[in-house]
Amino acid sequence: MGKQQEYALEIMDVKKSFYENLVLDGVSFELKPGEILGFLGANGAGKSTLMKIITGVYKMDSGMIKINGNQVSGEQISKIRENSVAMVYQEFSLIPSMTVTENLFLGSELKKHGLIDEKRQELEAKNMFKEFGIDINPSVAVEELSIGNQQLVEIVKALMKKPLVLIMDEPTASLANNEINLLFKFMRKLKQNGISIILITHHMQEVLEVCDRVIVLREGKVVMNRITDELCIDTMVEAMVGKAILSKDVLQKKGINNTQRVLLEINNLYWQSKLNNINFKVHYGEVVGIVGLLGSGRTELLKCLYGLLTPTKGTIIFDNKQIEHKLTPEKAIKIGMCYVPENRRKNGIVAIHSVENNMLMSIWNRILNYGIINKKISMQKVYDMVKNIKIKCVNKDQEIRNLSGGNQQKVVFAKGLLINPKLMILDDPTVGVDVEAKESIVKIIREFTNRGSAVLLVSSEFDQLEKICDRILILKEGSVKKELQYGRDCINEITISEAVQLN
Amino acid sequence: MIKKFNYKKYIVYISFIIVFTVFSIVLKDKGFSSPANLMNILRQTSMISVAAIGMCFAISAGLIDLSIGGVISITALLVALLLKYSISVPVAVTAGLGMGALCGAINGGIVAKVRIPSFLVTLGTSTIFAGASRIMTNLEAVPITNKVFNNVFGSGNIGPISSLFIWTLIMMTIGHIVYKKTSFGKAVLSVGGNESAARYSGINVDKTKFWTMVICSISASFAGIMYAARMHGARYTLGENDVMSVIAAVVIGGTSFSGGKGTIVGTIIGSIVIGILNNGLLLMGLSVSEQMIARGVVIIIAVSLSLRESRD
Ligand SMILES: Nc1ncnc2c1ncn2[C@@H]1O[C@H](COP(=O)(O)OP(=O)(O)OP(=O)(O)O)[C@@H](O)[C@H]1O
Ligand SMILES: [Mg+2]
Repeated sequence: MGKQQEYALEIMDVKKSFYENLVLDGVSFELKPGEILGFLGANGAGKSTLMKIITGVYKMDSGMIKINGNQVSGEQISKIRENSVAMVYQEFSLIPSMTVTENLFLGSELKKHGLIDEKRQELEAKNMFKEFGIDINPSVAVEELSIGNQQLVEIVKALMKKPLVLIMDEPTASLANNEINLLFKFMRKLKQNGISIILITHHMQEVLEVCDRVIVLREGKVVMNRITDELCIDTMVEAMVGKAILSKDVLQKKGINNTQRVLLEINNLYWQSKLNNINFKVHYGEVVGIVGLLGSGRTELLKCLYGLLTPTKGTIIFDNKQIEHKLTPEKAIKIGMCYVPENRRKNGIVAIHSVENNMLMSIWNRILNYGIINKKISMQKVYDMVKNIKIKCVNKDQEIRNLSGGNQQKVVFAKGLLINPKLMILDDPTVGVDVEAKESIVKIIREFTNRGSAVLLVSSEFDQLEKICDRILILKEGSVKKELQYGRDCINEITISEAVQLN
Repeated sequence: MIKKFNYKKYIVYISFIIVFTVFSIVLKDKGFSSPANLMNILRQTSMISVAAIGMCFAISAGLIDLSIGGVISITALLVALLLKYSISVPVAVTAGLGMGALCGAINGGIVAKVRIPSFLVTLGTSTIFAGASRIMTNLEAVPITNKVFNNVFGSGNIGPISSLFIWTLIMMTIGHIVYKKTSFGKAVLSVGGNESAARYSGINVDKTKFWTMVICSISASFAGIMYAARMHGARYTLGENDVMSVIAAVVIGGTSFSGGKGTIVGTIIGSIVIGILNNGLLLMGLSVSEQMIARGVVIIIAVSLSLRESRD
């Protein structure tokens, strides 16, 4: 590592455009050894792009980068990248079919007589997990892990090469609270070892909790660079958005009463060993939140409702009709449901397709004119959505993989909304979405139910649940353990997390 | 900042121009660029073009059909036999296309229901279909004497334009519209681009795959009908060596081999590139074996150019 320099990383006047789209407009900042830097900015501000430039995935158009005092340019980048900067990407880079150990050692396998020494690799992986206090079996395939655990493996993998600077692009987006705490714990441990960390996130309270300093990027420029101690959430948000978010709209909630019509009724639902006798109702106009730890069966429950899994036992009554056993997503959409999945890249988007094709994927057959797609209507629909939920894209034909992560998520949400369903099933719909857009999505959800439809919402963000849910079901080991109801119980972050922890 | 030229999008036109220019210069004395020879190229290419339209659907959906050779010869023989027994042309042609649909339904049914990759399914059915076409007439050729059939589907002309080429244009138009402007076309591309996301979005993945395989076979059977009409007869060898040309045409045309992206017009241009290549190598006086080697080399070059990812 050489002798200690004043800065682990120096960024000087970095500029980058994609075709005509200027993304970084002269970014400069420094990072001290052992410093944890929070990196904030609205969706599409250029955060991921900047980090990819630092690690050498993209080339900058102009500017300078110094790592540990050494200027890096051109050919050196890949070497520097190998030695001193590690990055956990917003999109996962693990190979799903390989085991955790194989993934960790991919490209730098431990060898014995020229062959891979599986035993030693496995042992080292086990030790590493023990050191970080993670409970993952290194010999299972990555695809069998929960998203949260996959994320942890990803981070451990980045740490394998003992980097000087660790960059994490929204690592907490899909983690549960306890996993986030775990992550912060080893971030502090790394800090003690002199490793600098850049943390990109859309959660302000995380920044206050763990970061020493905060940089806010807006439209490709650094608009704030301050010590965390001087800051509060409102100042950061203001810097991100460019204006104070004025009204924290109080959303109108309803306490249900028994006279309201029932939209969805689930009786004695079982699925394999994951769901055990689930019973509940959703009324027209209601937002019902579902919380539970990983493995509580929340995703399985949603999948059963949407026809992605076939329940082993039990009945589902939707809109007064009992659902036949062979439900498929196609039929679910026809009878008036939509589903926003938690894993955007795998189940949400076709990466190489345009914004338009992604957004209209579910409704092409509704906008036909003598069998031919009506261009006017399709353009109008895309245009309206891009405007309403502020999707930042060059035009409707831009490939969705070239959108920023948060904007991709907005497109997936828009796709569900365009189905115009009676029931929206949302599995963490605001993953990676910035504060402002989150507010607007929450508002859209509420408006949507005010017009009579209902929402089932899984979210690990309790403040969001607090804000919009009429009712919250607490799921544990595959059954509903508790129900919090607006007007009867007190619903806030504390009561929700208490209920979740409850045995 | 200078706008980077995205050459990948135009690679098929670039290869077209390169291949055409090279042969025009090299084969100047042999009349390569004479109108007669150019029309001849279009005529020879038509069958590849039409089969490639269906293949474009299959590849776009993340599938592939290796059995089209057998479908071509079965259809051609069936139509020839029916015409021999004085069955009317519309009935014979419909029966031929029906045979294509049946072959496609077998492929598609196994792909969709048994969930075996299309590559393996059609690897198997390709020999089944080829074997069946040998059995049909005991390896005998069947001549077609029906002038109407031969003229309409093969050797006839409208003005200076071959009816084969007109059929190609018709099929291209239909294919293009279905591909770009219908919900089925969008479903095909979504399934090819990300099958799981397509399923979550309410697309019936199995149904889409099934019909894609059917379409692919039907277009191959139409190519078989065109072959029969052009040759005034059918033989089990028809289409035998076409599967590579057809797949190469689709890929050179700019369709992503991993699915999710493609173009029908590009596919037709891709076929014409293959056609020019076949014709040019022949005019150069190469032996059949030399032609095979040269063709393979050029196809690999062209395909690798169109598959190369452009990087930032
Ligand atoms: N490969 C690319 N090609 C073209 N444009 C791109 C590409 N990558 C990013 N962009 C554009 O650059 C801008 C910044 O994207 P970036 O991913 O850096 O945003 P971000 O700050 O990370 O946002 P988010 O919070 O949503 O992840 C966006 O407008 C995006 O469309
Ligand atoms: Mg990003």
